Amino acid sequence: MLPTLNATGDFVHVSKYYKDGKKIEIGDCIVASKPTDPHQRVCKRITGMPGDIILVDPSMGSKLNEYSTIIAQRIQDSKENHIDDQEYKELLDLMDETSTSKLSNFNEYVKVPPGHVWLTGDNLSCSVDSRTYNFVPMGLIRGKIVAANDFNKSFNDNFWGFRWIKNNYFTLGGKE
Amino acid sequence: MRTNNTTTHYLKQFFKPILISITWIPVIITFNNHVCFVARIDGRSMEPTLKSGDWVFLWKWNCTDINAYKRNDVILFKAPLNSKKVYCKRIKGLQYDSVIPKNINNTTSTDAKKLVHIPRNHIWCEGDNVFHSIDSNTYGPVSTGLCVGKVTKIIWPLSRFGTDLYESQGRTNVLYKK
Repeated sequence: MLPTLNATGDFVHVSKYYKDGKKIEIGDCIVASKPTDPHQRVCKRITGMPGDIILVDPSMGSKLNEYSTIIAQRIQDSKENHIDDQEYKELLDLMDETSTSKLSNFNEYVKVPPGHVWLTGDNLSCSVDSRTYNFVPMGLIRGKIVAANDFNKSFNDNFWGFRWIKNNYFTLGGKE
Repeated sequence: MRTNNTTTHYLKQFFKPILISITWIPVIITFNNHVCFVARIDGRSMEPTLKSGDWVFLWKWNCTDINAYKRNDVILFKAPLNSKKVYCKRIKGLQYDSVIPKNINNTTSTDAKKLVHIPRNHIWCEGDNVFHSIDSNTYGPVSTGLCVGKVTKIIWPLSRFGTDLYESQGRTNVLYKK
């Protein structure tokens, strides 16, 4: 959530009126329990409501993917150090596997089922969100973030950096 | 002067118990939200264990913790497909289990592709009344974060008070064993 919330020192004001996904809209920032670890709470933005069709994340399956680049680096290294052909071949196979078939389910469209939402962090490249743990049931939503304070700042600086967190979602050609 | 004193004395005597009982309301609400509560069962998906109209005792403490549950426990959880509803079902599989869903049960197939592997902190819930139950066979494994509480006792009707909840356990052979 980096541009919206700081990595450390930020405190958010959560409205529990919106608990269980009541009257929640696309583009809202919410606090939810993590489905794979309910003791943890996550701060995410809703980017898909029930019935929406979502492209998961095509960049995850591409050759620019971190895992693939590491293997590519190793291939480069093995060329320079004259490692035997067998290992070089294995690395090439591994690269083929990771770049196309294994990670290709990130390059797919999914439909959000009723009663679920699609959550993503604002900092897409460093966020563990719905792209990893799938749709989140609305029952896990704890509340909506309405405002935030930054306690790295002083009191005089707008009451510890107080600001409202707004829903700045828009569609081309006006709001739906 | 004297009359005034007696009126304040009566006022004090009258309002003190009311004030004390009011201060206990938040305590009771928190206790009911986090420790124990009662719930009414509606619908017939848990027959014959629980019948429609039964009141059950609910243990809520630590209810989002997977370690609090065993297989065949009866629990209440928020419906994944509709957060306003609460379902009562029996746990048939815990995290990391492999489960054989209902629709392929008859074919005696143990093909790994048809099995459901339950992710971390998820559970597989089914109703005892196998043919009239919307359960994990429809919406898949449920996160324990949706759990509301564990059913420990039937308290109403009195004729069935404390009936054994584990007597009939719904569908058998749900777990896939190698």
